[in-house]
Amino acid sequence: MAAIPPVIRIGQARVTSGLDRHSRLDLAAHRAEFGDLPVVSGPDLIRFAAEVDLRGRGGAAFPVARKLRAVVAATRLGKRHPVVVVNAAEGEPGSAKDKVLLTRSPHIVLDGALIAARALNARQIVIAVAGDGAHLQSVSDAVASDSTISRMTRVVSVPDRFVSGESGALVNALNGKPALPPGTKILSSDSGVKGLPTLLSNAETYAQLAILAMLGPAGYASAGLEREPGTVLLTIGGSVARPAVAEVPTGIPLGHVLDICGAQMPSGVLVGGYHGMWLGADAAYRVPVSRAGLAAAGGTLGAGVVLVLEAGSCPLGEVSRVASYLAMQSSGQCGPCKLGLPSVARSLAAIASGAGGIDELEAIRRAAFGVRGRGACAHPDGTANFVVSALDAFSDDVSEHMFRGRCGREVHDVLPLPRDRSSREESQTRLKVDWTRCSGHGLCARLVPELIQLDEHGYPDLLDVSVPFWLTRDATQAVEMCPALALSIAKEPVSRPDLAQPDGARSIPAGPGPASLGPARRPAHPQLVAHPAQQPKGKRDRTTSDLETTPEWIAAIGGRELTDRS
Amino acid sequence: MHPRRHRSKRVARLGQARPASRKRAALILAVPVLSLLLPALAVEIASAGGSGQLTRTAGDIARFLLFYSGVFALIALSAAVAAGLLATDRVVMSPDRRIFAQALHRTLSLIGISALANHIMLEVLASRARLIDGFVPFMAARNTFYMGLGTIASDMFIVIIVTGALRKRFTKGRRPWVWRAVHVTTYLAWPLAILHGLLAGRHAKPYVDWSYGACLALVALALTFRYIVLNRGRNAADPSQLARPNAATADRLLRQIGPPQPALYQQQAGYRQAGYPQAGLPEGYPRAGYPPGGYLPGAYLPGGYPATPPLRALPPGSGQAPSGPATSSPARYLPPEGDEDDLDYGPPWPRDTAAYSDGGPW
Repeated sequence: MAAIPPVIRIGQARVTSGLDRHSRLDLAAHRAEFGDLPVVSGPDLIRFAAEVDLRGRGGAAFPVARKLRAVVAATRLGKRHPVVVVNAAEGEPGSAKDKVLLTRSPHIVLDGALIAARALNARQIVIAVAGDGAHLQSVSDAVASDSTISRMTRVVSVPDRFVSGESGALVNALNGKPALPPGTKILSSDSGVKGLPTLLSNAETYAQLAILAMLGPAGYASAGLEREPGTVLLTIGGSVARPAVAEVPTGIPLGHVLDICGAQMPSGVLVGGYHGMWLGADAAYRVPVSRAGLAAAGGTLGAGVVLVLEAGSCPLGEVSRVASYLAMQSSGQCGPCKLGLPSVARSLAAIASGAGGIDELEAIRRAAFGVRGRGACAHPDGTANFVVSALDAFSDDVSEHMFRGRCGREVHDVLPLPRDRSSREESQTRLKVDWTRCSGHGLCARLVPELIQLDEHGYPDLLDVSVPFWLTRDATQAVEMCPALALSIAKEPVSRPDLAQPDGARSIPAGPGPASLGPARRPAHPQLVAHPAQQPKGKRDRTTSDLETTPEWIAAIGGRELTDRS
Repeated sequence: MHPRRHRSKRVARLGQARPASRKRAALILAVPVLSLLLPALAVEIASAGGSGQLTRTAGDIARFLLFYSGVFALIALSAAVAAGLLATDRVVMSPDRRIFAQALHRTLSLIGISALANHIMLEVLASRARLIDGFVPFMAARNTFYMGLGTIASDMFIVIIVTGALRKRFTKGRRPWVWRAVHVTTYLAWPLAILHGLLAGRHAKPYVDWSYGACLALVALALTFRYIVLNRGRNAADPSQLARPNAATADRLLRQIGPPQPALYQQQAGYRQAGYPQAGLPEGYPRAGYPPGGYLPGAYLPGGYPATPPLRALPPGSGQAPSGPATSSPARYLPPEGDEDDLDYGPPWPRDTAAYSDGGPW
C-alpha cells in the first residue's frame, strides 16, 4: 500500500470534515458528521452548480452545470437512464487527493455520486480507481456497507497509468476495451458507458457536489472567493517537510500553504501537476490559490497538485526525469506524441547530463511545439507545456548547463514518480547495451526509435526509462535482431541504489488506512501530535488544522501561530 | 455491514491491454505443426480407400508433396542462407533493408524447416525410409551415404533453427558466442543438404545442378568477401590511420596561440565553490534563454564562447544539498498589514446536526 499523506486544512473543513477526529469516516461517523443525505431535484442541482460555478476538479475545470445539463438533454432525447461515473483514477503521480478521499472519507464521494444519480434518475454508479491499494479496499468497503448505494454501484480498477484517468480512456476501459484515449472525441454525456449518457467527473467534484447539496449555494459560497467560491483540495509535495493534502478556501495565498507544509528553499514550484507549469519561488508564494489567480501568474490549478523543488537539487535533472516518465506514459497511439515526446525527453536528458548544447535546446522547442494539438488526448500538449515552462523558469540553469556542462548539484529525485507498478502488464524492464559487443549496426534505432537513437558516431543512445507496454514488442524485436547480440532486455530492480531515499527527509508518513479504523491510530510523524478529540469552543479554533501546532513547529516556521488570526 | 457479501464480490479489473506475444508465438508454431499434420491427413484419407473426389484429391496432394517437399525445403533453406548472409552486410545494405533481409531470413527458415518436417514425414509414410533414418545418420538400407548426409544436415538445421528462435536468450548470458558458433555451422549443413538433394533421390536435371553450384559459389564468394574485407571491424581502428602528433607542428602552434588561458568563467573561482549559482553568471553570459532577435553565436563574449569546460571533480560537499533531516527554511509568506480582512475563511462546519436542520435545500 502506498503511503498517503496526512490531511490538513486551513479555514473551514468541508470535504475533509471529521478527518481531524477520525482516521476513516465509516458510515455511522459520516452520518454523524454530515447528517442525512439531502434530496435535491435535477433542476435544483443544476441551478446550485451554476450559481456557485462549480467546476470539475480533475484538471480540465469543466463547468459541472453544463455537464449535468448535457446529460439531462441526452437522457431526454433517448429516454434512457444515464450512468454516473466517479473518476478516481488519478494517474498523476504527484496527486493524492482522490486517494485520500477514498481512503479516509469515501462516503462523501459516494454521497455526491448518489445525489447526482438521484437527480439525473440514473440507475448505475461506477467508481473507477487506479490500481490496487487502500483506496480500493476502502471504497469497496464503503459501498458494501451502505445498502442504498451497493445496489446500484460497482467498483472497477483500471491500470495505474498517466492517461488512464482521461475521460475517453476511462469510458473505453469501462466498456471492456484497453484503457486508451479514443481517436474520435465522443462526449461521454452523449454516449459513455454502454452507449448510455454518462456523467463522468472527478471524485473530488462529487464530494464538492455533496457539500453543495448539503449547504445550498449561499452556504457553499460563504467560503472562498466571490468568483470561485468554495474550497479546493491541494496536494503539496516535493521538497516540503510535511507533505499533505490540504483543503483550503480559494483565494488564500499559496505561500501560506507552503509555509505550513514547510517548503525548503524552493527554486521553483510546479503547479497543476505534470501537465502544469513552473512558477518562480517569489511568484509562487504570492499567487492566490484560484484558477484565475494561478492563470494570471502563468500557472494552472489543474488537479491541485503543488510540487516544491528545493534549490539544492538540479532542476533540469528533475525535469528530465519527469519528461522521460511522461514520454513513456504516452499510450503509443499517436505518432507525434510517441515519437515527439521521447525526442523532447532525450534532448532534455542531454542538456541535464551536460552533453547537450544549443541544438538540443532548439530540438526541445521544435519538438515540444510540434506535438501540440496532435494527439487524441491532451497528453502531448500538457507535457509540452510542462517542459517549455520549465525551460522558462530555469533559464539560468539551462545556460549554466550549456556552458559548464553541469550545475554542480545532484538530482535528489524530489519530483515523485511511481516506483512500483501495480498492474501486471507493465514489468520494469530496461534495454541494456553490452558496449563491448555493440559495433554500431544501427538496426535497433530503426526498430525502436522511441527508445534508441544513434549518436554522431552511430552508436545507440538509450533513453533511461523502463520499456512501456506499448513498446515491448518493438523492443523485443530489436533485441532479437541485433546483429552483434549486444542489446538485451533485462528486468531491473525497481529502485536503483542511487535513487535511495534519504532518511526522513522526504518520506511520507503513512496515513491511517482502513486497516487501522480505531481513532487512536494517528500518523506517526515526530513533529505532529494528535488533535484532542474534543474541539475547543471559541473563535480561536476557526483555522485549526488537522495537525495540531506544537511549539517546536511554530518556532520552525517562523513564529507565527496560524490559529491566531482573529 | 455485509462483510461476507463484500468479500465474495470481486472488483473488476478493466482496461488492460492484451498481451500480443503469446498469440504471435502460437501463430509461428502453427506453421511446422500444420506441415506435419497436413500430409499425414492426406495420406490417411488416400489410404482409407474409396473412390470419391476427396480420396483422389488427397492422393494427388500426398504424391505432389512427396515429390516436391524435399525440393521446397532445399530451396527455402538455400534462400534463407542467402538472406541471412545478406542481412549481415554493411556495405550495400541500409539498416532498413537489413531488417527486411533478417525478417526474410526468419520467414524462409520457418518455411524451410516446415517443408523439411513435411519431407521426412512423407518419406517415412511412403516407406522409403524408416523413422530412425530421419534422425540418426547412415542407418538407411540403400543409398546409405547420401541419405546419411541428409540426416546430418537435417539434424543440424533443426538445432540451428531452434537456437535461432531462442536467440534472445543468448543475449543475456555470458556466452553469446555459443549462439554464433552454432549458427555458423549452417555453412557446413547447407552443402551437405545440397549433396543429399542432388544425389540421394532421383536424378536431377543439369540446370538444377548448375543452379545449386552457382548458389554455393556465390555464397562462398560472399563469405570470403565478408571475412577478408569486412572482418576488420568497425571498432578496430587501423593504427596507421590514426593521426600522429607531430611534435614540431604542435610546438609551433602552441607558440602562436600562447600558453593556455583559463576561461573567463573559471576565473570566477568562488562561483563553483558556492554549490549552486547564488552568485550568478559572470557578466556577458546570456541569462534567460534566447536574446531578442535570435541567437547569434559569439555575440556575447568578445572571443566567442569558451570551449567545453574540463571535467573536474567538485570538492566534497560543495554541490550538494544539505543532507540529513529536512531543514525548514524560515516562513516566506508574510501577508501585508491590514490584509487580513480579505481572507475570511467562513464559519466552521456546523458540528451538531441540529444546526443545519433549519436551513438548506432539503
